[in-house]
Amino acid sequence: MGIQLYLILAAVWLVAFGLLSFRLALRKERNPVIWFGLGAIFGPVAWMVLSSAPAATEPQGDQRPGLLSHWASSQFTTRVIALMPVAIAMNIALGYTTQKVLNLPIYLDSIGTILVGVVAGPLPGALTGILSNLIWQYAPGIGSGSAIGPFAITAGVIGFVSGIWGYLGVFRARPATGLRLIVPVAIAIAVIAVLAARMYTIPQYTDPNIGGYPGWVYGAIVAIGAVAAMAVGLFVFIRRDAAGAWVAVAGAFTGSIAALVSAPIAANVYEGVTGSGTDFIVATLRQGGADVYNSSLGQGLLSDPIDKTITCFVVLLILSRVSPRLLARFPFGERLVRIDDGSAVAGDGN
Amino acid sequence: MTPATEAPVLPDYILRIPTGTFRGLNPLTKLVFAAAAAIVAFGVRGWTGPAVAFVAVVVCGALSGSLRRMALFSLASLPLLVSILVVNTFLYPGAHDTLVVIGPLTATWSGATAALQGLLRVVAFGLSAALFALTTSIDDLMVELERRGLGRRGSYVVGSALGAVPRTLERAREVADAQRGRGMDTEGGPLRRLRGLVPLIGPVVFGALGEVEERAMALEARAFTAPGRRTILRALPDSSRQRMIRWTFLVGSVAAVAASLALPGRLP
Repeated sequence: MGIQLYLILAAVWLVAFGLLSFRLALRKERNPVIWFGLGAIFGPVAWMVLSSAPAATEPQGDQRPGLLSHWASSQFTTRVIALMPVAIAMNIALGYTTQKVLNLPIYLDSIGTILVGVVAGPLPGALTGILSNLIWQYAPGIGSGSAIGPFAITAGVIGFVSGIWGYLGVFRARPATGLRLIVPVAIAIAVIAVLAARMYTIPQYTDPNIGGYPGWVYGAIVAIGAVAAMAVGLFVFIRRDAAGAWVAVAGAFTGSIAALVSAPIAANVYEGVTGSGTDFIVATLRQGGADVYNSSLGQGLLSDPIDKTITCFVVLLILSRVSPRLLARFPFGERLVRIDDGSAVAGDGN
Repeated sequence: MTPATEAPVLPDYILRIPTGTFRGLNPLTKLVFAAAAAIVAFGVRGWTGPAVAFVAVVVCGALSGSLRRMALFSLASLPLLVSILVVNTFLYPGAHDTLVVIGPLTATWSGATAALQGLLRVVAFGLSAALFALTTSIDDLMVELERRGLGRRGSYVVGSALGAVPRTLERAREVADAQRGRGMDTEGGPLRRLRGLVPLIGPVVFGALGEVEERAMALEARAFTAPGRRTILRALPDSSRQRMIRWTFLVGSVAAVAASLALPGRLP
């Protein structure tokens, strides 16, 4: 019976994605490379999540698990299973408070997702993101009626990507001084500049057939980029920790990917708007002549990198306050704790 | 030592079965219905998909007697609905069929049509989610999924998250109140409010993370990773008819989307 459930889920996923790709391939102005890339990421991720995560049926007898299922199940230790509900609750509670109580124009609803991805791996991260949005949408009394459900795909991608950052050890503290501090900051600023320039000159926006953005958008991109670079530099130099520079790059990348994934969802599902403060950006871009999809993409490329960079810094601050003894017990613990700390614990402590 | 003479009687909360016209259905049937409504509302473009999903959801809502509460739920998406209506009516890309001119803004027919379709789509989806949430106990759904092969890890994550959300929200509210009592500004300008986030996130996050270690140990101590399956005592009624309905809804909704994509412009 279990197998059947997963087959249904996998079939629904594949059909839905196939239809989405088919529909988008019919439109000439869409870049097929982006969609091929997304498909190449989504397919295997969906398969791995569905085949491993929720059920994780224990191997019987001496049967050795395969390499892939070993990789998958090594990310779901009991500690990670205990962390995931807490992270989901964190996402929903902090996102709700930020958007509704403090009325800020950022989302801040992926702290838990990125935290799980960084300490446990891509699959728990993706699953935490997906479940957060589905629970937020479908659980009684929390959010039904809000528009978060279809963005579960975005949240899953964010969690998966942050798992890669965790694997690369991006969030490990890297105390340094002098040149070893300046070089990472320079690299980080260069990468962010390249990303910003890519947005600034992306052909779709300047193509006269689609229509450009109003002039202030370009000014805003430059201003926000400059402020972000300064903030990152200050953070790194005050804390004397080069990790800040790498985290900024990770946040900007995560945000750009999130924007690329959310734009078609917002455009096809909600006619391009999301009912929050960011809608006025969409309206301005439409006034400038952008179509439904491009105005959503433009809004996402403006808000998401900022939101995800802030979120990544919050996660970095959280991790720096959690004791290394606890961190080392998670699957990516050894990648998060400095080896010369003297407090790194061998093994996963189970 | 006297052997037990009576057969063990299961406690009431295990035997209690939800009843009612729509509520009495198997949780999986209700889940499939909600999913099918979402697929049709979003997947079939134009008026047909949203309208069909809307009517189906409203009829089921009326049958289950939760229509009034569903309407209250959908009030939460009011900002989104207003935004869809305003942005699309006045700023629809490439539309020139003027409806009315208000100051510098021009409302267009094609914009208004797209806006109303989007509105109906979001309302139908929101109501389908509300219908599911109001008629299905999450415990029942988890029991049903676990009986059908969902591992105990999956059911722990979802079940525990559902309990943790209201607790964490309550805690965030308490922390916000406490910090406000100490002078945190939640009303001032955006920068002031942004500063207010720091004393809010800290206590909430570290309080929650503190639980993780205890929970992991509690789970380990209760044979969470032991091989084998748990015995499910609570059995919810199901029937071959519901089984057939589930497959019909699932296959039918996907087929409807495929048909509407293959034959663009044939449906209103």
